[in-house]
Amino acid sequence: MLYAPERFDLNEWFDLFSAALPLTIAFLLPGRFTLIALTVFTVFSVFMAQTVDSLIAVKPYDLYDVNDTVKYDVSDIFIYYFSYPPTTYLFLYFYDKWSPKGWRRAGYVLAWSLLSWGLEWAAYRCHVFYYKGWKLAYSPIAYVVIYALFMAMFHMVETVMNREGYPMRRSGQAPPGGS
Amino acid sequence: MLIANLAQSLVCAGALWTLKWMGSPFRRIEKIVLYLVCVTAFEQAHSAILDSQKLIRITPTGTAFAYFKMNQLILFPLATMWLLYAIFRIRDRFLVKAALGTAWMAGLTASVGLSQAIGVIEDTGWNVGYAVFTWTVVLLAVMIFAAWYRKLLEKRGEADAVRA
Repeated sequence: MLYAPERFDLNEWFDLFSAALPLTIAFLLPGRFTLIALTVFTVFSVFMAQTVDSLIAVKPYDLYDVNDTVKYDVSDIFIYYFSYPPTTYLFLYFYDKWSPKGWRRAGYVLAWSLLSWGLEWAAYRCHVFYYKGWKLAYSPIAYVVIYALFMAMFHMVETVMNREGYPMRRSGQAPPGGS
Repeated sequence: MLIANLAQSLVCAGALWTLKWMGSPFRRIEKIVLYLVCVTAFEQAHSAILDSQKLIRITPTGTAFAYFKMNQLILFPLATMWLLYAIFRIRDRFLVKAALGTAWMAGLTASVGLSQAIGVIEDTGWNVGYAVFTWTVVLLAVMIFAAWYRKLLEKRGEADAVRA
């Protein structure tokens, strides 16, 4: 059973904003990936968020809480399904479009990690996260690992889809390195 | 508990090994997505049981948590994937599918019972009725997704065949 938030206040507004902004940008950009690939990216994003939370945000570690209660509420689901996947999409969209190599690739991951860190700081200030052992200083390292995993997943999906004859990009979208 | 973890690790390694026999009708991309969806579904179900309804409590030790996570991240999702594989592979045999579904449900329920018996979890209200309800919801959600994704892949395959 899902619970409603205890109060609709600052953290719920932040949840809405953190979904509306990347979703709007994602919709304004021309579609890049096929629905088959988009589904994998969305599912992987939800999987990562849910798995990390269920590893370190519950006992015995219990490093932080998300939103109003320790219970699983609608706001938590909202973040999992509407905030993280469009952000992941934007990360992969520009990663695929610009196809950075070498140091540029490391810089791209670092830039996204810093951006996410800034957003997490804002989320913390808006009471989306309650740290109980976690520190904001740990987050950039975690984001670097998470974004590196997204990149690895992206290349794995590309390889598997190519091998099975399913296109990852929509027709008309240039492959990496293209204009 | 350490021995239970060791045994569980071996069972999980064996379960992962069986994936190489999971061939047609599943494509590799389908297997990846289904694994992710199964894990997510179990995580959400466990979150509702543990955090919201408080029907089960995990013993607060690292070893108990590791055992529980091996169930959640490997054994339960793989058992579900094999059930889906059978459901999509076997055609027009409802009774066989129903029997497999029942065996899957009994297996998961027994696994929770075993976790309880060896001290991984404490029962604080969990019963067979809740188990049947929870596993049915998980299975339905995953099955609907799997059917939709298969359709998507088939449609794409048909479109490519027409173009060729």
